[in-house]
Amino acid sequence: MNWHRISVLIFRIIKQFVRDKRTLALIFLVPALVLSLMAYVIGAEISEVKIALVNQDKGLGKPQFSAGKIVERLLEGEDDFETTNTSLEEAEELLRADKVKALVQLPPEFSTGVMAGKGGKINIKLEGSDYVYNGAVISSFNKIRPKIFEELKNMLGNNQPQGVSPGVETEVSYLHGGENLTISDYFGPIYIAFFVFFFVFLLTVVSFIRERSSGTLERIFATPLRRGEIILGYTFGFSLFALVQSLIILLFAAYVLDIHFVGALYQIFIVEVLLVGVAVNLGIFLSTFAKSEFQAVQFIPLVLIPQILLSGIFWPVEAMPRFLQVLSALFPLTYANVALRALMIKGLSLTEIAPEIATLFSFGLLALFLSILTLRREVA
Amino acid sequence: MKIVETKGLTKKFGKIKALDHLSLQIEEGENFGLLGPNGSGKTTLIRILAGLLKASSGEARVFGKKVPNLMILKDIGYMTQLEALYQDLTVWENLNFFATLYGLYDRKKRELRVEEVLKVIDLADRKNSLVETLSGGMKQRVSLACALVHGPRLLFLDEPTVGIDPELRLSFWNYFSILSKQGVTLIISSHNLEEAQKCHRLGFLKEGKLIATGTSQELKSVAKASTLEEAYLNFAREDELA
Repeated sequence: MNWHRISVLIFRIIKQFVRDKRTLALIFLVPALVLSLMAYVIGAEISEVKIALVNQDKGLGKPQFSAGKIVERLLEGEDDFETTNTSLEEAEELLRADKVKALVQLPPEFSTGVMAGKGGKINIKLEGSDYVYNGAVISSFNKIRPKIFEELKNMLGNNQPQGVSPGVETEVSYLHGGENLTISDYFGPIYIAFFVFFFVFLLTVVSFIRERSSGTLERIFATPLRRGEIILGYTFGFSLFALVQSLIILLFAAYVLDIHFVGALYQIFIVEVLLVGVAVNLGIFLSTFAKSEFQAVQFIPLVLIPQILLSGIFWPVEAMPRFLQVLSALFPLTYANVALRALMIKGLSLTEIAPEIATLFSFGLLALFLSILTLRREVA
Repeated sequence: MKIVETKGLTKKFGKIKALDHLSLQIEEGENFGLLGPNGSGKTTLIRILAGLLKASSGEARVFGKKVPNLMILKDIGYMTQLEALYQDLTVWENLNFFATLYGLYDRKKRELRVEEVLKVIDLADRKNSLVETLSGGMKQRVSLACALVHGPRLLFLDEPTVGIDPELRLSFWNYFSILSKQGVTLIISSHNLEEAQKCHRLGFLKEGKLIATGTSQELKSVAKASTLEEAYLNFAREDELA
């Protein structure tokens, strides 16, 4: 052991890092950035969940007593909910369109049930495709249940039949999914989107850095091959692997992990091909900003981690602070997640997720434009 | 016909002039040597002629057509300074890949051509080896083969003999003369003045300018020099005085 030799090594490393300003910035700034994103995303509260209230309670007796009115008043006074009073048909419509996260129905015989002590039945139908909202609605409802109970008791006061205490029962049902859906079921679609994007993006970046640094790209450019052909070749080549990869994920998820999903496989693949197109072209574009495979790794915290945090994997985008929602709208993965969840959990068809498909397609075009810009024959 | 013709060709990278009003003519079937030290503009000139770079001003014609031009690329071969091979593919796979890109779509014809080229570079017995397992000299030969697998009429060779042993260097110059006899026009850049004597005609480059052209005999007698090296230095000195 010779201290001189060790120290010269240390100093060399320090010098190299200090000269590589980008790596330096990455080491010191990115962790703070990622941490603050994480704090914002995970710290965000689910508040003001939109629900539709369908009060069909006919009331009871004279002077009229309506337990439904009490529940209605309590729900409207509750900060956790933003309640809309509406008819059953309209409420179902709102729920299907994902405009409300839950439908709360008080049936015609609600008051009667309460008075008879058999318990008035409250039907809660959850939208169901996002487990965060499922949990939020149910826990908020549980919070106000004692209040409902208390108010009903006060209201009844003297009228209360002897030996009978008012009761409220809730019955939860789901539009999509169901209580059998575990958290991993919700993550299923997202695993696929994320892995496809992650691998294809990194593979493309690394392949292109290699093509550039080894000189093979220069050689390719000396052939009559056109830029568009290079891009198509790469996109199809990687799509093939991405599709096999997601097929394995899907089969593994379905048969080994027992994750449920509905929706046709080919529709899932169409979304993936679009995502692969975006990833390939983004990779080609960004590969010009990295000189080595080592620098390519730097794209993980810059390009991939923000997308993981903000695309709605862990936390619904609508529940994020405004500025993060704006950011998440800039990420292709956000749209892929919405699209794949719609296909795999809600069982919707491609036409029903046309806006997401169109957005992904536009992302593809933008990335294609950028990658063509960087794929000039004038490569250094 | 002039295979290559440039007039006042200039290329600037920022403020640096890599090529400075360069005018040059190369005849069909010629074996032309571009000589000059590193940074004199040899690679820049070749890259412009091969359609990889746009000139800042002036014009360059290859086969009578203004470059860059996608249509003429199939008749051009380009061996870059780097090996520029896919290390994780076999020799045969590399050749097959570039042959197809150059338009040899017919499988039988392509395979025949690949076998033929493999014999020329004397690597038929290693055709199924991964490139990464080859020695440096072998890789250089594969690189040459990739540049001529499509049977180009014009071949650019950018420092093809850098870093290879004398024996291989000799065989490279033998390949070149065989190609010349077949009517292929070769433009070979080098900073090794001695080996360049084997070219029909030479061009001396200095800081992006073409300071002299001619056969090695002509250049030596004009510069009143006994060796090419001396001739280059004399021309360079004259250029500085002018």
